Amino acid sequence: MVKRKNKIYTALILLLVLALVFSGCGKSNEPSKEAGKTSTESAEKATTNETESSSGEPKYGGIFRSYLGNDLKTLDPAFATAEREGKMVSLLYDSLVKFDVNGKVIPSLAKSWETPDDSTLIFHLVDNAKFHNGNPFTAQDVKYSFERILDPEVGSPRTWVFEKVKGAKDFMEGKSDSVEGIEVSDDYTVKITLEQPFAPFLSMLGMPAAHIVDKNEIEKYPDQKDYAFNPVGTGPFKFVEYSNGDKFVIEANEDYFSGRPYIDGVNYRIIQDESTAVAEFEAGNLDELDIPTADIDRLKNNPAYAPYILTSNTFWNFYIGLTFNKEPFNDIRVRKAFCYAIDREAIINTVKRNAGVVSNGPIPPGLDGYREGLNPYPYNIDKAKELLAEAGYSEENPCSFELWHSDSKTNVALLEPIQAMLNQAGFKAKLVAMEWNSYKAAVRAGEAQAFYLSWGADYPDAENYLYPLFHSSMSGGGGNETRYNNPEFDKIIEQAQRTSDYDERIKLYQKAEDITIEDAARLWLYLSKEWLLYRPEVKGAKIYRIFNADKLLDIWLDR
Amino acid sequence: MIKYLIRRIIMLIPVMIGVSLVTFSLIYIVPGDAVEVIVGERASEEIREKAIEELGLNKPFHQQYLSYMSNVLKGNLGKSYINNKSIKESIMERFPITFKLTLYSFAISVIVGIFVGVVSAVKQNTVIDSIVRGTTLLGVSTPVMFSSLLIIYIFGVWLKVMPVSGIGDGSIKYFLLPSLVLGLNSAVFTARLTRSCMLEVIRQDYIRTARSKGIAEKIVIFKHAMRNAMIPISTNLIMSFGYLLTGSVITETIFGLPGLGSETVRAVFQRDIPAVMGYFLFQAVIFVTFNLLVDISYALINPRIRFN
Amino acid sequence: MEKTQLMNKSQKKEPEKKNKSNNPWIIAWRRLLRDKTAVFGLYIIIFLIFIAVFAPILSPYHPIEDFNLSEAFQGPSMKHWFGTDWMGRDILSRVLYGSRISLTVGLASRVVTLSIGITLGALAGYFRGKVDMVIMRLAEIMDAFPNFLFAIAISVAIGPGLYTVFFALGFVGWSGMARLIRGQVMLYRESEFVEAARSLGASNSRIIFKEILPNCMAPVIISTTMGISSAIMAEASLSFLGLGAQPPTPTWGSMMNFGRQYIWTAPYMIIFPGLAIVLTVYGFNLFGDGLRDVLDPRMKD
Repeated sequence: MVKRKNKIYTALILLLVLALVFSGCGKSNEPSKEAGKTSTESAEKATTNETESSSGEPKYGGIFRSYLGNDLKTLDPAFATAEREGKMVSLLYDSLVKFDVNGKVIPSLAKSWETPDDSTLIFHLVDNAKFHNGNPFTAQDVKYSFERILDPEVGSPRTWVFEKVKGAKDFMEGKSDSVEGIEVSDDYTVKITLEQPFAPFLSMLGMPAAHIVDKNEIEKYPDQKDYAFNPVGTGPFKFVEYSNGDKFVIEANEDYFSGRPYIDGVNYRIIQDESTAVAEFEAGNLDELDIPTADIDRLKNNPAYAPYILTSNTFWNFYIGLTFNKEPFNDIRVRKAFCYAIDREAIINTVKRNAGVVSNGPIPPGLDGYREGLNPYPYNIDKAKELLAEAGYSEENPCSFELWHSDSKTNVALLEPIQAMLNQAGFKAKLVAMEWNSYKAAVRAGEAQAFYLSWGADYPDAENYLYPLFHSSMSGGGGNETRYNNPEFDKIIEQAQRTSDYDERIKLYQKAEDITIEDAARLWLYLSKEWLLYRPEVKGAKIYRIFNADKLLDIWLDR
Repeated sequence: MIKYLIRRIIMLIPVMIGVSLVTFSLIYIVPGDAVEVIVGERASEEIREKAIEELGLNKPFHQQYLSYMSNVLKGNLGKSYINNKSIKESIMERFPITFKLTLYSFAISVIVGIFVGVVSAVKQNTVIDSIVRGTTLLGVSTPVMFSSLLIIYIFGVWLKVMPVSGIGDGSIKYFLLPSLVLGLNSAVFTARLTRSCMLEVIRQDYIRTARSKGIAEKIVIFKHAMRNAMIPISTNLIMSFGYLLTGSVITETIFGLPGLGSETVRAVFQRDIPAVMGYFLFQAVIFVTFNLLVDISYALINPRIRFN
Repeated sequence: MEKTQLMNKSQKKEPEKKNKSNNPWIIAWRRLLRDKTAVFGLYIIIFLIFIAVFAPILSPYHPIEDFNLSEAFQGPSMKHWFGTDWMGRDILSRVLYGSRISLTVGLASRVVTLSIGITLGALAGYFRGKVDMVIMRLAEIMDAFPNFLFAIAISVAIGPGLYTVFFALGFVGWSGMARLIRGQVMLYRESEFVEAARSLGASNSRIIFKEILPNCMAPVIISTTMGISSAIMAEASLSFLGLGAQPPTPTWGSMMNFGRQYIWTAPYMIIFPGLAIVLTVYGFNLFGDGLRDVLDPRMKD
């Protein structure tokens, strides 16, 4: 018996090895030959970002089976800085406003608002929202939640969200007990006054940090960090269970103020390896798959899956930052040489095939201010060599530097060809992989010569891609890791922030963008594209452009 | 015997102190920023400094070490930097999964290993011996990640009969594939061990006597030889259980099992200092315990060892 | 992995004789050559060394510089026998060059193990007393760590890279080697030929290195050969976790690591480096098994 088992095992392995080799020979030749063609085709064809929901009336019930690519660190809005956590916070809590599919601000806990002047916002709140513990939601909770973010005792990393509120600085320095600019007029009215006009503030209220918590729940815990996995919000789902490396379970909130979600709950498994997630989906154990780049072609060409694939451009803009006050990139000629040396078109079309579109500037398509046809640094190896020679480098004396990145397979897959191209142009680039946290710390401290990072929209406004990334006051932790410093840029973006005329503001954004491109502070590589695949019985799924906008209220299961 | 036991256990104390010191120094030199994990992006300098203060990261090495160890002695392993979860709780959640995986793998390893070992010993220097040895050797030469990926491909993608990752509801079918990979890999060691122990026993005089008396070969092998060979084999099996218990890192990682092995790797990669410390200490205790069990079983078999 | 207890008892005494035909090493070598599986293993090892040395000549392409994005993800063909990877590099060439890393790691990590293990083991066994106590306590501490986890921790602590792998994999094995040597040294330290050397006024280091150690070679050779294969395996596992030699250096473990994301569309990216590891480790295991059989007297018929 045992012997037979052993034989079967050996036989199977041998069989498999052979089969894999042959299946490899047969298939893989054809898609790669037409790499370029396939990708452009697909971009035109697959533009849908909603699964059909027309087939019948939505049904209630069913558990949606999904997965998370990594562990959660917290479910406390004050500390949820990662994209994944922000998404989950939006399912458990609500904020005053939320975003629709396209990123437009729409009402949530605030049913309406008015703006008596450029720096005042008056919110009228819904009166039927309840926390999961049964406590009613009122204006006091808004004030508590927002002040909690600013409270130095809490130590939230998101204080900057409310820093522009009048009296925030005094409150943070302990000079006052409450924030002057957040006033509770009555149980269902909140008035927020800003230090000076700041147009993007309203949309910032949709960020995870601005989600509303219940004071009674938080104060149960002497150490507020213990609240992390005991979340109680007003959101469409209630917390059930979380276990590291294993699963995260939530159930529908029957009393959700705008009507309960169709599904009874979500079962998120934690699956770190992308190819494992693919196998699980194909085995029928998952309802949703975030298709890994490597499998997009295969799955979208499979007629069994093709109708259930959603795709959409995201607001994630990937770049390589070149540190301004460090050799060798303190020389604008070297920065420009760097930009010309990389054939982004070829790399994105191969390595990020289908999963990214070439990016040419900070402002992503989909935000007002984006300009088509911008291509400041087309691939031009001769020009790169010329610029390097001008800067005093030669074959004997190549321009060597380290390109830092956070350690992941997909990052290396993208950066290896970039490294190879840079080396062809006369650079000598060394890739240095670091663990994410130490990487972020080192980059923020300005230790990297060059680094690979991305920037996604916290709120849908072009300002979010300019001020934090390039303003001199944002050096380091703020977002301007490259230590970019151009007083002219600072002046224009500050002016834009104060400008309430919309068209005028957009023009100023574009002017600011041009300056950063001319200075070659960052080489913009690509904007990522999201591909989601659902089981046929999943209806009404949508891709929202803002990462935390989907509250899973549209999705329903036909089974 | 009891004296010997007590002496051995007392001798473990300096070992465990050494283990904790080595682990702590290793983590201490890790280039990483635990604070970054806690405060996140865009945090102000004050918040960062506050966090450093809270964690005691600004204190010198020996103070950090001593305060950690005094907590451990009080039974407090601390909380993860990453998710604020109690380390003790994490161990209690994850260790049973690793233990289950180990148990199943161990069963496979013992059954397959002893069978193959006995066969190749009995048929020493025959074609069967060569084939069995060649195949087992091929098995041991296959890296776990390679066999894991192959098995996932066969059962998960082709046949679609087995779940390929996670523990689902914790039932045995989720452990089958990883146990198979791990168990067959360690079966090879068991087989080699069994073979050499059997060969040694078979050469002994009493077996020759039994054979010369004309007792049936099967009885000689199973009644006389096996029984005697089992003693050294089983002591070594205790050790292999210990190895399996702490050697399932890659298997757990590939099959997405939330056991202690994959969690330890996670902690090391993320510089989750209290977690790394806790897991290493715990696994060292287990490992040392198994070492002790092996020594005790040796001492039981061979009393002279005690005075060595 | 190997149980050292089994080997301590081996090699009771094989006093060196000058007569060539009776030299135990030559006898062992002859017996080894009669063991067909061991010879097969030896052929594999020679083949791999040949590949590693002549990789630049044998490889049809350069493993790093010859990338071609328009030829990415090609399955095995006449042009690329093992196919190409995600940036159009020839997998065959990368596998051939990868042998250099694996063999170097196998050898270099053994050098580290041997130098730490022999030094400490000889000191402990020869001087006994406090020296022995301290060294053996250190070895016990080492033994309390699960090996692979410890290697991971070292790699993370000093930063991943080829030299880190040498050290990490070499370091985790020293306690076993030290015990082995210690046992052997203790065995010989009171023997006649050591006494004779001592009475002739030989220094301690001379006695250890010239008199005792040469007599301990058999178990050391067995354990080292076996150690090479487990080091190669461990290197592949470390690389698979991203802790080995860093890209663009081609190593089999990292090729599998990167290939894993393409497992459903381009399985050849995993298969070939995987088979290369199997072949290499298989070769060393076959050879090591044969060596043990001829050098371990208990295995004699």
